[in-house]
Amino acid sequence: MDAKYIQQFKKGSLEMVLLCLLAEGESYGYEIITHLGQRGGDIFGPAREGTVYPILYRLEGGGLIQSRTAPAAANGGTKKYYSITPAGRALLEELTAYWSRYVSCVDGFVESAKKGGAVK
Amino acid sequence: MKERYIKQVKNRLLLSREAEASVLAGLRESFASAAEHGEGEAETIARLGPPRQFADEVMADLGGESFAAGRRQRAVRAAVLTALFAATLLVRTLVGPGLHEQGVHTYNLRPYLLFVAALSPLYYGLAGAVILALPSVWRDLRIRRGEVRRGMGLLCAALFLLLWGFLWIYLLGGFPTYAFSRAATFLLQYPVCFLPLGAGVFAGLNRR
Repeated sequence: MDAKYIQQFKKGSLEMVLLCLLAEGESYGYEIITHLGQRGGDIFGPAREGTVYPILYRLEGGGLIQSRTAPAAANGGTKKYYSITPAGRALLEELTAYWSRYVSCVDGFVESAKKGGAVK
Repeated sequence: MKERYIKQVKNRLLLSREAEASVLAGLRESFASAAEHGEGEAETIARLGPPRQFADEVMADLGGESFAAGRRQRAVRAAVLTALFAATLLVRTLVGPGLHEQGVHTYNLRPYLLFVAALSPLYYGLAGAVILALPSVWRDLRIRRGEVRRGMGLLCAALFLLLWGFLWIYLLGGFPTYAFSRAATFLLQYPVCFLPLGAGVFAGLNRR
């Protein structure tokens, strides 16, 4: 499949996926990217910092997530830990509800096409 | 290797200061976290992709927003520069004519002074604002077109500021004009001449 179609899907859903990850618990950039890769790498493709950091920046700017800086254990530097805010959690609930209806709707079209023999 | 990579990314990013700082901090943290997990710098760079690609990904997401956010900043900057220019004109008015009007100059520019007199300080201020805004406009256009070359933008801005600096000093009477050729004197005498000059540089640099 052409990568541009995957990009389109990713573009629309990655913010919600990141909110889901952060709703599970506080996390930092590298860990988020690792989780994305491990749990969604087959579908999303390799998670990349160049894609994830701008989204984190936007979510934080929108008040949907918050961050705190803490010292990194190993190298003496710092790590930015992200967590979801109440506003982010409220939006996530709306998004997940919409997503369920969205998937159901799209599935309806796909099933219909399958029944008609248009696709396998 | 890591610092070089980060620098190359930075040079290709054209974002608000806040967005740029956030993205670069994230990038630094990625290197540090990767090292914690036993990943070498070369491996991390291979995973991140070439600096240009990394910057393009970031710009594709945040570039438009930064462009819009920077609009107000640019308007304020133009207003401040115009006010400064107007203040310079005021100082010139208060301290009297520059050296060129005291007979130190070599070239006789008297006929042109009539033309200068017809131009109000507001016109000078406006011309100054337009000229000073040109590098920003040029840079914005490049962002819109996805061509991000901060170095050229800075060079262009430096060129305009240098020319403008000469003009300011001249208006304050700091330069004996005989130090310049006739053409340079003419350019310094009439700020309006900078408009076509600026437009020319602008057009030249914008050409693909």
